[in-house]
Amino acid sequence: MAEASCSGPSPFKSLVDHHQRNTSHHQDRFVNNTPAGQSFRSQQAQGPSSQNDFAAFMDGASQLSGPPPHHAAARLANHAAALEPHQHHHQPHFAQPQQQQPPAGMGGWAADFARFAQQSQPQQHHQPHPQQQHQQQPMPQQPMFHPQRMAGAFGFQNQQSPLYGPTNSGFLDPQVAHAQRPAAEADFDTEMSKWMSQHGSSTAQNAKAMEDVDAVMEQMARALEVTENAVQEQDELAQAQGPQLTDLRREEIGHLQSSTPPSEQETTAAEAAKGRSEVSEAAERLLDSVRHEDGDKWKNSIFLSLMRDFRDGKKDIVGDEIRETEEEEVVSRTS
Amino acid sequence: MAAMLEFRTQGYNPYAVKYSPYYDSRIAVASSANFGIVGNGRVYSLGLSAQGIQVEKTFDTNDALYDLAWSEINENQLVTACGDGSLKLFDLGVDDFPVMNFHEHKRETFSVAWNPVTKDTFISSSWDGTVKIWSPTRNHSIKTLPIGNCTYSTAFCPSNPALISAVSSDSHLRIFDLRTPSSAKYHLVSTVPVHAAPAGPSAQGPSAQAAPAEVLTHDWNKYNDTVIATGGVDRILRTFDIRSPTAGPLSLMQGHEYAVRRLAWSPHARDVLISASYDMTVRLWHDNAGPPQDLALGPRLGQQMGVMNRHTEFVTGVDWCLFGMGGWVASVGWDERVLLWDSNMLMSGR
Repeated sequence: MAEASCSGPSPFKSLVDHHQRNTSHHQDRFVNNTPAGQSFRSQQAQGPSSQNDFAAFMDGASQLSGPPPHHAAARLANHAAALEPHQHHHQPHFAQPQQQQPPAGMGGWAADFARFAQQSQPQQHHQPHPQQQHQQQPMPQQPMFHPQRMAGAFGFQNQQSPLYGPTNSGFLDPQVAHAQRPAAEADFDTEMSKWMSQHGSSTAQNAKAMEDVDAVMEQMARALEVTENAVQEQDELAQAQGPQLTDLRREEIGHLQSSTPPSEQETTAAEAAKGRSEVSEAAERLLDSVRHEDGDKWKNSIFLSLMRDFRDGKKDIVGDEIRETEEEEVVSRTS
Repeated sequence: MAAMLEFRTQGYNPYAVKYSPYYDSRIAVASSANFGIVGNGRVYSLGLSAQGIQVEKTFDTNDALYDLAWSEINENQLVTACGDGSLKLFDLGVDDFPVMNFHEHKRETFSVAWNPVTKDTFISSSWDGTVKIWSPTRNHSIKTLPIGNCTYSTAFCPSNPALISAVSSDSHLRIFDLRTPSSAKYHLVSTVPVHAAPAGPSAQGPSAQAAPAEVLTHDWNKYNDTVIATGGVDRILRTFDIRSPTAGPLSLMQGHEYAVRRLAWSPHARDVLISASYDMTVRLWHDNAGPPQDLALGPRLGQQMGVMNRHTEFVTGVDWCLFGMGGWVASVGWDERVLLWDSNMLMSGR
């Protein structure tokens, strides 16, 4: 479920959202906001279109995620990741479509795919201790609805399901899902009742807190009124004293206004700097992985020499080429 | 070590080398300018002659090339995996341009393999998290298989055209069976957690468990079609019986000092494989497979039979020659060199 407000999610807000939710949408809990006509129940007969759904999903995902295709820094980061020590393995930051929520309106293909990915991927995300991780893995062919899995189905993305990896059960069979839906909703209600019983008193506390907040707000409003009146009086006094101060203030305001919107050139320069630093960072990471190597091969490696140039800012990727940076060109000309 | 045949791919850093399935004297190399980071690609078709290795044909592409596969149905055609997400089918009889272009992947296409049994399809994998099945006569893919992670390598089972495997950045080996209905997990029939501990009673032998890491390469055993070898960032080669996805590896082969970029089972021996690595070496292995083993004893430790240390940059491609007595190998690395050599020299300790 998408977060509508600007502030972060909280258990209380989740509860309020749940109560405010249109119950006519309950059948769509499993497929993340898809219209009723595209629920699991109606997907089964749409076999031939599933490939098109997937293509649409991929289009959406590629627009939403990560750097653009053919990103030089991403390619370099891939090799850097391959060279890193295994235990501290770094996941390349490109192409992780499974981490995206399917775009609104996507069909069953996308929802299935996202769910599958969420359940098979978390190894990469929270990287538990290997011992702990593999204790969690052998849970093959469990019944479909487990509390944690429900949390995933209901969109509580902060909770990672431990049911991942080799379970092979990432997909909800439409018929099974349909049959077990009432049980799932009952489970959900039970969990909600538990939460209410544990946090019921806090509702009253919240109400009291809100009253307190109102009182404080009123007090602040009164103080603001007093301040505004004082400022207005000062302004009138200043205007009566002479025009110089007014001009000065206008000039200052002019300065402020001219500095507020960043120019296009500045934005482009910032983007270029960002791109440069990505390549440079990837090169630095790669070099860090092999810095203990002192053999001739490693010392004389042309590739590693290029990486050093990237790291030190002597070379950079400009368009489709590797070029010396301007500073380096100046240095080479003077010498 | 005995003399090697050498060819230089001046200005291009190779990513893959493949022997032709039709001619023992023909090799293709997929390469990229600037180590594949940025710039063009070039595919070489090389011929072996009494004068050494000669260029038969080259084709240039706008983006880097990461893999190639010879057509199994037309001896003059090969398909390349391109950094812009496309696959290009080149014909040695047609100059300059590909005869077909297949462009659906949204990110770098990193692997391609031709169906060795029916010979009428090929598959590709990409960093966009999918495997696609293609016909050389159709612009659009026949089917898309979801992986969900950067998929570095995909392959056909050598004996069953319906079985497709893929390894990816999430530390898993996946098996798809196209005979199953698409609605059943999109043909996914098995998922092997490459770095997980075996399910069941704890093994007594060498530990098969490791932290999850990207799996970069894999290959099907040519004599036992239930066995697949994997290699990747954790530097260890592992073999698995895909009939027991959670049983852990059958054998472990340790020795590489950096990630394994590519591996290939021998077409001539059931227990020999070769691997190329970021440690700038090519290594020859015996997996010590024997009669069915007791899983409680843990995986067997494979034996390293030799190290080829001639490359001076990362080694990215290796392939076995299908012809002759067996043992001839082609390897390529970012040192802009294609080396052809006899792996039997490694076995005899020289």
